[in-house]
Amino acid sequence: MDRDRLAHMEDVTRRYGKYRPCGAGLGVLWGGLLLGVLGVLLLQWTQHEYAASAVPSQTLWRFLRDTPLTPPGWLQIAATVSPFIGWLGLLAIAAWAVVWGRRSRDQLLVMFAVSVPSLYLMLATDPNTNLAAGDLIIFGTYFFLMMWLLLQGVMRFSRFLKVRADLAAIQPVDE
Amino acid sequence: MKEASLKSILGLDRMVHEPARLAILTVLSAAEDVEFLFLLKVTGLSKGNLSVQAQKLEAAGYVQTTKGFRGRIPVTSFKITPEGKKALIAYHAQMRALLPKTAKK
Repeated sequence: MDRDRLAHMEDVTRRYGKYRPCGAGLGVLWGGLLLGVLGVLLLQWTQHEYAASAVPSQTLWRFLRDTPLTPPGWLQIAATVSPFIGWLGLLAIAAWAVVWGRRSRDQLLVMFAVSVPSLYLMLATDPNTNLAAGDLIIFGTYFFLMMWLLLQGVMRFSRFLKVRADLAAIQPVDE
Repeated sequence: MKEASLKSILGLDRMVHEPARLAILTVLSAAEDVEFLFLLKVTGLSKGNLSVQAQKLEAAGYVQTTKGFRGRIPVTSFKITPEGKKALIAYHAQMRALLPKTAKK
């Protein structure tokens, strides 16, 4: 039992404890995927509105800035149910994690992130507001959150796979 | 070998010094608690040896064993006790102090 082997055991144990199943980024990955789906829906609707109502010379930026847009019912429903779907998904992951590993480290962050589209669309349904230029900041934040969650999820999951491979590669000792 | 070095060697905690037990304590010191199967895999010890050494460590008060069930599957997990942690730290300090001296000879 040499010093390197002991150090390797210690390192694998630490990393395994950090990344095992729910620490493997499934919570943030789930949040990121949910946001991604909502983002695609939102983008599709915006593009559809732009294609249908924009003046030929109007850029998307100008169109968003100048046109009062009210999200359609299906998008409002999707945005409203997304936090609940997010929450149910996190519960399912946590239930699995209780059996196999640790709970998600970032449940609150994921819940906050998946609630952003709802808040955004609820604000947009107010006839006095305009789903437009100012909201591009929210679009930006929303996109950033989505990318951050996905990146975190992918990174944690790949690190978890790496530590599992390291664990599997440990050879029995001659006793 | 000087008398002081010999005393240091003789003063090593043999409960920790044995390679399998040192491996177990090292792994346990890196986690809150560790399940038997993970410990088996990460240390590379045989089931029998791991059980025996874990029992010895438990008898010495260095490790705490918890037996439970996950559904119908029995799960044994181990945790290093504060005494175990102290003993491991002391062992590392002794070895650090001892090795350069003996290596020079």
